[in-house]
Amino acid sequence: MKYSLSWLKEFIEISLPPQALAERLTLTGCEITSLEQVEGNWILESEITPNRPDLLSHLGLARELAAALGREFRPPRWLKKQTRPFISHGDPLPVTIEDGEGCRRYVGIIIENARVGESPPDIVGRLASLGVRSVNNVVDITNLCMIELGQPLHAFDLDKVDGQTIRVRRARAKETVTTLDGVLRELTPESLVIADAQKPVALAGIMGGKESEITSSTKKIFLESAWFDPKRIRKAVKAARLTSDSSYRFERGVDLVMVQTAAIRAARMICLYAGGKIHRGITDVGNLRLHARKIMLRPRYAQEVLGMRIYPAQQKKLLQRLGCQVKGTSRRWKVEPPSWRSDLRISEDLYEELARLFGYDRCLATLPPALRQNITSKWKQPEDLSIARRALLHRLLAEAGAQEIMTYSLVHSEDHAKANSLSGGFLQLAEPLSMDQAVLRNTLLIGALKTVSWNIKHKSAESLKFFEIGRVFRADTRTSPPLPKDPYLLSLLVAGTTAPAWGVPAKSLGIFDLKGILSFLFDRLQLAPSIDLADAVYFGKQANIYTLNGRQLGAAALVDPKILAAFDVPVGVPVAYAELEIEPILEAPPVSLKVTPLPKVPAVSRDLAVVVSENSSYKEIHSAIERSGKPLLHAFALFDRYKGKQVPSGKMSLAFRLAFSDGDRTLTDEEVAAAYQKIVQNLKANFDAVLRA
Amino acid sequence: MASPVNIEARERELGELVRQVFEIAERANTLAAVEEVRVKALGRKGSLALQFNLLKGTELGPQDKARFGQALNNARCRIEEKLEERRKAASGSPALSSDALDSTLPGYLTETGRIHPITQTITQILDIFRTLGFSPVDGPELETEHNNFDALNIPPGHPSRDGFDTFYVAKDPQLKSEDGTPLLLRTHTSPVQIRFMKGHKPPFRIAVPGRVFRRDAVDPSHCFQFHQVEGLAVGPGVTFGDLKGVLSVWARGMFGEAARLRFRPHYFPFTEPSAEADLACIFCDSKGCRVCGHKGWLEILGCGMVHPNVFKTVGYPTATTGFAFGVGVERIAMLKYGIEDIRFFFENDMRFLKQFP
Repeated sequence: MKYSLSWLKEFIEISLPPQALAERLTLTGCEITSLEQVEGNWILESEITPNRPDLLSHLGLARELAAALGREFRPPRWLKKQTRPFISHGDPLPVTIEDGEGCRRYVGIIIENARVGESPPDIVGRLASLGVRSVNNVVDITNLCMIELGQPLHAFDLDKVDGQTIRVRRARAKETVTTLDGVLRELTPESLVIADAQKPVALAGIMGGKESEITSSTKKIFLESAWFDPKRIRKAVKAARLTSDSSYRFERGVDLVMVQTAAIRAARMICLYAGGKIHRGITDVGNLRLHARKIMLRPRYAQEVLGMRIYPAQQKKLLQRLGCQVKGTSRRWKVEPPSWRSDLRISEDLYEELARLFGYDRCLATLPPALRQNITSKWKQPEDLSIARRALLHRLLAEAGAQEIMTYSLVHSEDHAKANSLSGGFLQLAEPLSMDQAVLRNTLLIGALKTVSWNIKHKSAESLKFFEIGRVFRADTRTSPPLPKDPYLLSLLVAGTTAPAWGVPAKSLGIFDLKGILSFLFDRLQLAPSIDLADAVYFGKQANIYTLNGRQLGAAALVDPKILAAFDVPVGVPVAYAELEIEPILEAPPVSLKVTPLPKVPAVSRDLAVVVSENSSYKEIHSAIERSGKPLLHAFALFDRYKGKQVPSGKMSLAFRLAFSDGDRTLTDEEVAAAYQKIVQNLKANFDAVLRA
Repeated sequence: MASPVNIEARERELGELVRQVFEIAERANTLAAVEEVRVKALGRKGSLALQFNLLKGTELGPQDKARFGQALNNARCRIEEKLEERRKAASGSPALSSDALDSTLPGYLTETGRIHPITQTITQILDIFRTLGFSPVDGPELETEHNNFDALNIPPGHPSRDGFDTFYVAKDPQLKSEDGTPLLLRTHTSPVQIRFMKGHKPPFRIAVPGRVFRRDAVDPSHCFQFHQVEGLAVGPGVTFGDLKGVLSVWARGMFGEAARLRFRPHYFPFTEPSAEADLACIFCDSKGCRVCGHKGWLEILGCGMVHPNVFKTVGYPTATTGFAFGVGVERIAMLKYGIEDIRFFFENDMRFLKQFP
């Protein structure tokens, strides 16, 4: 809300320069977001938090300033001379409150023979400087009083009110009203309306009706000032999808005591500026009992919780500055907050008042008791291991050369279809902002491929090796009914070529680089998942399926070119992708590390090259060597694979480097030769292998 | 019996032999030259073979024999490696085989991966809080309305719900949330407070990192997803002063020893008293600049003493005290690294990501 400094000065003497004033308000909790000079006057702007509707007026901010500065609040005479609350003087118009919960107080005043017209320039100027457009003198005065006192007011053309009677009631089903903005609104019983004998004439607390609008031909004005229930107004606001300066205040709560004062102030101003006469006094109806709230405050306890030395007598003074009645003893104050501070309900609310008036900056910064106590204290250290283990995955994958990425959790409504990832089902947003972010991702593939096409399009990198660990959203159908779940997945993607360097030719990256990173990862985690070939997963054929301790982790494969095309990855860029569940990885029992002593004798190394059918499965040859090499073969690796002129067609040559050892014992040539032969024989028998010279 | 002097002298001799072979090998720039060195050193009548003869004789005792045998094996391996290296150099790229190698040529870079700046920032935040006794705890992004709002003293119909523009998940009769209230994407990490407190008794201190969502249109400073780190300390004798202390220590760890925080009263439904903390602008030393909007202060976090209603919801006794705070991770990273557009974090342009250590 915007405030005028000169207007505030009508309620309180201010000698501070505007900048210092803004700073003081900010530091006591009313953050001034802008301060600017308009035609010789300073305009302050603040975003008032929802708990302080009392600040949504000049009167309110002046009161706050008085408390913050320790100054006297000097209400003008017309405000001091407030009529005692809840007295009807005469009865100009019958008002019936049918929904007592929705409306606790209703004040009405009739003004006759007013001349509706333009407002005088000073009123127009005053409103304009606060960003309010002038309508006519009557409406302007209701706005002016709302800005001044915080009480929304509404003026009706009484001649348009059927039956010269007002009912405050819930709307009936299918009732309609055309509001001032010209929109015909169908109402529901959720909404509170102001009705005449026949029909609704206003959406209570939100907006008046077009039909009873004040116009230049209005003769009789009915001025309304009321207290509407915040919850009721909020429901009506949601139902009508309509807010106004008036509903904004009612939703947060207005001051029950101000209702009549504001009505009288506005009525007198209308008479002053538009002529006319108040007709037969004031109607004031409702549940006319004020509930005095008393809050117990133990000054010692307040000091302890705040860690601030505010003495009991000082606490009393600070609370009195806010308009609280403080009774009781210095061991226990009984505090009755003023009618406009409905946010003060419990002692903690008072602690904040004390702390902010005393100054947050005067609170000594300390460390919690656990850090001051010795280590045998009872403070527990609950550790969520999944966070530490995920951090380890991050580190290992980066070490293996993969860049971490973070993509959007919300994706386009068609992305799952494009990624062929419909089978798991996905969750949709009730009211998305745009189709681009309409559904919750059930795979990380979408973000990964968008990252590929972005980087190719912007020529950002030659080699793409990246991973993401993020939550995906699914319905877990293993339970009945299905429970929504958001498990973490790990995605890993490899594409492009290595960056060229002098003397080292660039190499294109693919599925084996991807598998290498995964082997590195599992090796470091001391886990040994089994890998099986499957024809297809959702994103690609010929996939390697990773399984750990009987739980399927996921798959690694070349991404289907159709999917690549759908995500604008240029033709001819092969993309290798893996997506794994990480829960089984995080939950795998940690391996307690035992270091194997190094052998004193170096291993004996031998190369083995065999020619086998090109259709042989590497996995099978690998396990055959592993089995037949026991017990002396302690390590081996494939270092060459060749197809071409040197070998018969339909065949390929595989070359291994074998390492034999037996602990600390030096192996004899004969032993090594025997072990080597055993492997060769096995390969000959099972794979029809021929030793290559 | 062989004397110990004898074996050590032999080993020294062997070391000298290897050094000499290396020296000669270093000058061998053609494959033929390398082969010549190999024959001289490792051939049947080469210098090393002569040393092997020693093992056959009786000059050395069994223990010394084993020791010298290993040394010999070792020497042979080293020479073989050296020769292999020279062979590669001799047959490799023209640049390498030339006699005078230009050592001003650039070194080979090993292509390594990096951690995303948001993860790095979260790690840094958590590390500082860990030294203050806060243990990291995780929680779901898909939340229930109860945990995200009601349990945090934000009842239905409360105007402060407007402050959280919430993404609700479309209703699906097949799908029930764990507590029956509507499903949503959490708007803050605070619901993890509720989940944690329901399963643990105070005293404790936790820090909760994670992704949160707001129904915000995307622009340079807003995104519908971002990250927070939440802190919660509950226990007897915890004060508002402790909250200030913990956050001040954190700010110094995060932004350097000179970092200063200013606490300002604010409103959050789940804390009372509540505060916002501003960091004295690190770019202009609080004098006022473009980054801080000429205010001298950068708003960086919200905090306060946990509201009694929150403790009531999780069944804690009425006299429980504690404080909570929430830090926006993107905001911190953007300030620290001078990043002007929040979208950079989620576009994953390698030219951006490769700028972080």
